[in-house]
Amino acid sequence: MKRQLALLEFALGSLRRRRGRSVALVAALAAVTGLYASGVFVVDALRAEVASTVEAAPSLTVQRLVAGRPSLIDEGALSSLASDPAVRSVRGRVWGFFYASAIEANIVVVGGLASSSEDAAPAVVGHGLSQRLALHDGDRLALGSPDGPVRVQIADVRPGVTALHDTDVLETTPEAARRLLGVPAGQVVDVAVELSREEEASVVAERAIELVPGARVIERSAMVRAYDLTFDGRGGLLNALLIPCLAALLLLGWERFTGLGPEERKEIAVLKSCGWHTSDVLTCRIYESLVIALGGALLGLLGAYAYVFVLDAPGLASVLLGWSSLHGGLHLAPQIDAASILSLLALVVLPFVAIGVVPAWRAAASGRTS
Amino acid sequence: MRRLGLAALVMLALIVAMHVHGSARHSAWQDCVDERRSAVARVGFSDLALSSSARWLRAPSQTERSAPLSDGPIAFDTDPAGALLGPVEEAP
Repeated sequence: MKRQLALLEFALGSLRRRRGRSVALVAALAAVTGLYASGVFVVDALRAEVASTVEAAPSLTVQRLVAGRPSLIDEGALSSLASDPAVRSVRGRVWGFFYASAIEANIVVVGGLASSSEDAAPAVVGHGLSQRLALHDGDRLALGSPDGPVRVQIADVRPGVTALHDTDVLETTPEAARRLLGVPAGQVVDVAVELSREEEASVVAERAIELVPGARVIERSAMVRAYDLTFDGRGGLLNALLIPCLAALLLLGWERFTGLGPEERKEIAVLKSCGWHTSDVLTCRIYESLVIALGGALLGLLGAYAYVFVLDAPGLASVLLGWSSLHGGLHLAPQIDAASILSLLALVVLPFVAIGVVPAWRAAASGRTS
Repeated sequence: MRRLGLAALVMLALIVAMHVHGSARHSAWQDCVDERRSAVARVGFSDLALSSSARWLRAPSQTERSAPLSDGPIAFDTDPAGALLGPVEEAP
């Protein structure tokens, strides 16, 4: 133990003597690890957000396609499905996108509230929408539609905790939604089918396609699989883009360590002439590389955490949110698992230690330094 | 050696702070899972409101696969978010 501590102390002294190079390597490793970890953190948090709520989506959503695009469907087209014992409910939905020129954004209008006889239909608005239009409970709002202005009265504003799901949503009565979206009475945008037995989904989907030929049926289980594939694929793509950064850093490190300078050769020669074995030189070099690699990687991980979960990923959020002017932001909850952290550390630390040790071993073992 | 010990201690303190912050935020997130599920049930789909600039970005699960092409034939992908989320597969 004492011997190992002495070797570690010598390795630290060696790092101090080459302070500039050590600091530069730690900074570069921290930057690469931080970039890589930021992508992993964001993707894992988004994946968990969807996974925790996807069960609340309808078991099946049936759309009618006309000319390759979703089109309106008769409200009663699938009503006979309700008699199926595997089906709990069949509900026609009126929803769609309403472009609000005042804020240059699409509002998701959902006709889900109970009908009202009031002059102004009740409406529940998402957090982001309420902030953009400075809306509060009781406020009235007139929205332009092809049939003249539609008046709604704000009955509730959704809290910020649900913003990732409904920040741009205006929920109102089906009648007001129909007027806003131009959906005629007797027709709906799609039909949501809730099943009491999920394993019957494919059978009920086939029956829906029989009732509405050419229908597009979206199964919840398919959505779950698709989200998994999407996040795996896109997250992997994001990380693959960073592999060249890591490769470039390792290549630079290899170049630097392979061409041992005269000072380092002299140091190894002096150590060997003092009785050091090749294994001692290697241990020293392993300690040097480990301190640099672990320090850089841990700094990168901490930086990535702060960047994503404390600062809400400025920059990366802009790329992700694109041109959107009304969005839920990236206020994500950490979903960090040990496997991700360990694989990140392994990806950075192991190759870095290897490229530091191999040239030193070749120099120490060849006897060229003596 | 003392400096290394100090640096290790600072790093450890930062990791502990990260863990405490993460646990607090994660449990707050868990506490409102019912509220978020109810939001999904009301909206009718579980797509995240990350982008409102195009229908295939706001509600990829509800959009046909060819939506980006239908809405902007021969157009470049004008929105970087287009590379991140794609429409889901349809039921067989």
